[in-house]
Amino acid sequence: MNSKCINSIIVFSLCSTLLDFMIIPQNRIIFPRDRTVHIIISAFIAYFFTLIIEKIDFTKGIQRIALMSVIGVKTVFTINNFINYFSVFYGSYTFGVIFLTIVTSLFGYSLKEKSIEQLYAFFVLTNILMLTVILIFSADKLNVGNIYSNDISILFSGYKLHIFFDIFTIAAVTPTGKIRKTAQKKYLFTAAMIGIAVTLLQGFAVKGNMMYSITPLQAISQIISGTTVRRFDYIITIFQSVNYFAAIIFYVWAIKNIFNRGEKVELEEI
Amino acid sequence: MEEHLYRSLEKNREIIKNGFGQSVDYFEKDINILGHRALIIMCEDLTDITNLWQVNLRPLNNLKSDFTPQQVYEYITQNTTIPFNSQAADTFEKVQFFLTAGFTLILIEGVDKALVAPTQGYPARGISSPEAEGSLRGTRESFCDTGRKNMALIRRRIRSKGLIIETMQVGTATKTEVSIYYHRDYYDEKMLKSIKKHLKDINLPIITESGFLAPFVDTTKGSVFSAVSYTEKPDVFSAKICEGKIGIIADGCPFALIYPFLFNEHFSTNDDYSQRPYFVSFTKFLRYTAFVIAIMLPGLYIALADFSPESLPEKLIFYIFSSKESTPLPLFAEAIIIVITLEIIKEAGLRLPQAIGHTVSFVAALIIGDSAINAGLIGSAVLIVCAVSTIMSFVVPSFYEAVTVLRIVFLIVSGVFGGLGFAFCCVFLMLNIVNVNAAGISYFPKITAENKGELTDIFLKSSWRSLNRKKR
Repeated sequence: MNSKCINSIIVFSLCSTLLDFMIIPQNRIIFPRDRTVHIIISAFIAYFFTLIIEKIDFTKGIQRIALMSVIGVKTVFTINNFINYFSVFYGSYTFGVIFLTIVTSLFGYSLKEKSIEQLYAFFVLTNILMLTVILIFSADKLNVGNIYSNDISILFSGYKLHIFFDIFTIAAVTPTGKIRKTAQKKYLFTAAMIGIAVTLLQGFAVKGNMMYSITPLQAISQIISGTTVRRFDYIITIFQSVNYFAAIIFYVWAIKNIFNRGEKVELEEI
Repeated sequence: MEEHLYRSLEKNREIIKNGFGQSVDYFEKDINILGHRALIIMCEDLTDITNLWQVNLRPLNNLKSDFTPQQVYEYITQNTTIPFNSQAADTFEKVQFFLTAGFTLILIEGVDKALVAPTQGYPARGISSPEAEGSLRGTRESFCDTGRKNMALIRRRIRSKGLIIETMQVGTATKTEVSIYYHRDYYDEKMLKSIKKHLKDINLPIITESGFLAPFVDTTKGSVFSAVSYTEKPDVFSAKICEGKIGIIADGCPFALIYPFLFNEHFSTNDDYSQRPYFVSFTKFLRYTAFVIAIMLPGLYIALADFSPESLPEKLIFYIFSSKESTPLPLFAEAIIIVITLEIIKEAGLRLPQAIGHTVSFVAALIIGDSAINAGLIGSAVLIVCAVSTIMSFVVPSFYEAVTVLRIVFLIVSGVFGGLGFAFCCVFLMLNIVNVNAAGISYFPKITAENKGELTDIFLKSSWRSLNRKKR
């Protein structure tokens, strides 16, 4: 099987999990708490890992188990975070989360590589839409505290950006063949630039300086009232849930495909 | 193993006649050609008698020689200008094929082949305007029910030698002629082989239209979408053939199959190519929006109104709650009933004669639309949402089936799980799209550096001038 895609997810999960541990409060000195920075660093580390990963022999049982454990831990963390999120705000939906997670896992298990590559496009588009909604309809509510917070319960936390960059990173390290290197650099660069731009925009917006006052965001944010922002909480939660299910699909698919590594499988039987 | 014709005329006659049994349209007549016994056979209603006489038989009467039967056969085929078919019928299988295609066969005593005279004259509907695909500036011709006429329509539009048309018979009982079209310079050989193999493997007794073939061409599993599309317009069909796609037309059906037909192609129309790029980009955006609304609107409305009413504007909340109070059913049940009722009305109108179809529309509009709301049976907000969603589904007609099913799935899952269910359905929708097997091509374009222009092309349209420059 063409394993670049699997490599990407494995490496990404590895780095992401590693960094998740590194930014827990007691280790915050190592990396800033800002999720945006964290994800950009994660993306770059993932890129360098991808360059050397071909030399690792995945056919060895111990390494396979280790990788499965890493991705498994990442999956469990993701599910746990999401259930916690829903338990706090929508306690009655926890059963729904578990049920739909199981169904999504089954879907993820049955996906082919061709399909999973196309899913990236969808999720990037979804996340761009999500980010647009967040930026446009919450311009007056953004503040440094929210951006630089690790607390998932805060509406506009870096958690949402985290997922956004998750998707971009996977898309970035996916391409294969001749275009692989340029594609990775291109998307990583794009991801990094967007991350910096978003952070700057939010920073300017918060302080209400000149940039904020002259951008169309001001007009839009004046048109929509504070209550409208509250309303979009639910819409953003829906986007959040879409990303959650996407993450489950990617992880389940990655775990399944670790055992297919090295095998030649036709992408599509036409 | 196909049975070959015999030299004995009587034996051939007996076998062919037995094959057709007591069929009244089977016609045979003994004649004499250059002193040798011969037999004319045909299917009466499929043959043009005038053509048979004037073009094929009259010149035969003028021949004079003392040839052996075999020499007669060779002389007629090689030294006369009588336009007999270049391919002789040498097996009973071929005899049956030519007879049922409207040809006239002449068997000569002592020859184990039959002369095939092209005398087709069967009744067929002429070329008319397309009914299912409207266009502002495109051609007014549509495919007709006769496969051979459709071939002419395509050949007239692709006059290069690259167009290849192959035929095969499919259907054990109907023996329907299926034509496969492709362009030699652009087609994918592997794809073509695969399609031919799948078509040859069809073991169904009856094939009366192209739709029967679609599941064998597109082997997608686990998705409501399909990489096969239909068209009744020869210009669309020709354009797709020149894009490297494979076209299939079954004789007797005015709709052609195109494979593979990708997701974004459903959002383009023929008119897009004759309109200004900025307007086309705008209409494309509308079509995508309509597609999303058609699938998601009822589900999203139920998720918001039932699970998070505070997300809606105050006036709408009051309106929904007052509507809830006055109607006997919960919002979710109302929506399900309305969506299903709308589908039933559409189904009823579709199959009925046009005059009665209008009556159904009036009855539906008056009784269900007006009376049900006045009687307090359903809320007008839900009705509006469901009606808007249904209307939106007509914007991209080729997706109508998929949209209908997905709308109901969105509605049910969102009604049970709220926003979470709605999000799950969004992922489910994406999975349905990416699971389509489009002959190894991504049904939905991937995001990679090599196809950076592809995503732009989905939503926007370049002008012909810039495309022309790129081609150079």
